Amino acid sequence: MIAVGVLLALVVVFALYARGGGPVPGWLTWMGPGDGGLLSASTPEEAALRTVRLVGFEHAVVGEERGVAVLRLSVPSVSSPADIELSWQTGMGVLSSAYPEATRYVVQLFASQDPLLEVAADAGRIREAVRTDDGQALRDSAVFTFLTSTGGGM
Amino acid sequence: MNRSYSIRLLLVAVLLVTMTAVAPALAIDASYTHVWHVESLMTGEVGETRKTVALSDIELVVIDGSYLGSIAYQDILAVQDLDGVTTSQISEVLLDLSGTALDGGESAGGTFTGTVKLILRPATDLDTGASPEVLALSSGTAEIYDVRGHWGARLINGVAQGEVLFELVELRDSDNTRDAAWFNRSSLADPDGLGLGQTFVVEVGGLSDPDALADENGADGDDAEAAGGGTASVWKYISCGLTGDIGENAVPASGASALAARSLRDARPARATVLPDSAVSIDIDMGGAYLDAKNRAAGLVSSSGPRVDGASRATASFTLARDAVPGRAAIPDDADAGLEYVSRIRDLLVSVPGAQGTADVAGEMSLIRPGADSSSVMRLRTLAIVVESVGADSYGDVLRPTYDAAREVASRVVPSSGAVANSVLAAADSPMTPRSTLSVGTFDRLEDLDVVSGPDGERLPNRVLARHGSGSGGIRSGLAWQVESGSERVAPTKWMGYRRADGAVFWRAGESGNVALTDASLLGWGWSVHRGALVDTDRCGRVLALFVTE
Repeated sequence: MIAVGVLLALVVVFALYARGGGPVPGWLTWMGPGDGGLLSASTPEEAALRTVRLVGFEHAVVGEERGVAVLRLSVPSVSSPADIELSWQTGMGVLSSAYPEATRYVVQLFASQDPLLEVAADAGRIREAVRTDDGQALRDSAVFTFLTSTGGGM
Repeated sequence: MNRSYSIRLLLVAVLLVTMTAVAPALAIDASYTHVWHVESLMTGEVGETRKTVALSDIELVVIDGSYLGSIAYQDILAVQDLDGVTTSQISEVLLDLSGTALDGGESAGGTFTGTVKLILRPATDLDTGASPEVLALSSGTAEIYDVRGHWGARLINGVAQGEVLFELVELRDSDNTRDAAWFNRSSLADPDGLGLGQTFVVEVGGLSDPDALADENGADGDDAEAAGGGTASVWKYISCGLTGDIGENAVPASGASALAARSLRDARPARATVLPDSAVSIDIDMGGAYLDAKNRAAGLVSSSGPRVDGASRATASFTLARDAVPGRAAIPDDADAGLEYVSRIRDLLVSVPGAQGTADVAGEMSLIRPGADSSSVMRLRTLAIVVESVGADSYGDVLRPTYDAAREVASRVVPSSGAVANSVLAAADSPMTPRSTLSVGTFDRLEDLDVVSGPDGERLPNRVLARHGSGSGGIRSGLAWQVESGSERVAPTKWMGYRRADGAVFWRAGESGNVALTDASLLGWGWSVHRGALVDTDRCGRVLALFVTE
């Protein structure tokens, strides 16, 4: 019994040591201090932001509330109309993956601090357009709103 | 939720509620209180303690929503065990706090780093052992610990009431690591956890911006709802900190990048769908370097760009679409560029009858006068491109490749340990990062990578200095960057090469420089930027400045 007690005590002490950040063998790293979720699977928001980094977007904001998923993108440079179209298509592709249960997707484009354009559409139509990779179909069903810093009076 | 976590959460809630209840009665004397474990355990039955606080000084300021602070604390603690043996411990706690406003300014939180110096020496009795006179003695055994952790505070009438939670401690000049919980207050409810944070109270100084905080509370003015959400969030923040699982990690970024991120998040253009309160943004809630590191760790990015499924198709689509756009006639030199773009935009608006906000654009055009400055002309040029894109047929398709890439990002597993995993922690400036991944001085020294400071050469420091270097006589060997108090500059003769275990290369500014350059390029299938990041050599996840190289 004493030996068992001593063994248990040693295990507890080692666990405390490992939990406090003490070096442990690789196969015992699970006992170490938590990483705060930094190495865990990404949340929908983090997955969306990681994906837009792969496209080359420096800054973005994303979130979902009451079925409406919104992705705001700062377009790094605007040199042709294709940059605008492919940016909001990118946003729609990202949102449809990150928020498959949403009912509406909204992509807002900015150039640095200047608001440019909002594109919004029913999520079902977007998911179908994604499936067929048909940007024109999405274009036909989306609502385009020009964004200005001064307009609207709202 | 397990029982110990519930108990701990309850304790935190009680603590915070109590702090809130007594807030108006608190004298606003800045103070930091450090309760050592032994004080909780030695209650008379198993021994006694006596303590003299020699110094308890704390400052916390807010500048444009960013918090900076310091804690300087010193006490002398005498401990007498049941056998009558008395030991005196002189402790010196020096912490630097940095963080951001949380919950629309209702609270604040972030990380801290610092040192704790402990000197142990025998004493004759409790009174002598706790006397300030022992400070003058030079005998005893000294230990210096590098410490890191998180802090969080509720802000009530300009007074911060908060906690600092020690999460990683490393004994300097030794591989030994003391349990971080030893530096926190003991938690009888969960004795094998990190314990409870040490507490502080301080009046916040600095340049807070009430308007900005009001904006963060929501443009609809629903302050009560925002305040309620804020309280819940800071409880979550602190309770997560107590469990060692930091749920909200404000990752530091360079000042310019964070500023751009904040502008993007805070913009509220007319007619735009309002961002959800829970929206998260790059370089405020999540650092871009952390996102990139996690993509690298998951094998989604190589040194030449994305390797994810869909990347090649997306790259091809971007190229084809851009090539398919017909060119437009250049504006003649003798024409007024601003008015020329106004004319183009008005013509293009006719082709987008279904779009909303056209009247706003037309109204903006009516404000343009002859001789618009270059920034206005650039804005008009961009606007013309946007209107043209809305009125045209589709230029290409990237919906499916982007969707596939996003799916792969969400599903690919990141290693939970090892050099690559540690590089993710370093990029997030996590307190859990092993020092061997955080401090450039501990990386492998590779003299073959050394670079003579100057613009001549192909290595990163050369390319950075070629565009951003400064110096007399045309020798651009110095590099300057902006800090809050002005600017700083280094001008080493050599940039010393180091390679981290995950393969990342760092060039230190001289043999003992406290900054280093490392590649921070962002290579995407739509846009790419080649650049170097200037980082703190002791915390290589802390980006001080970014320098575009091409």
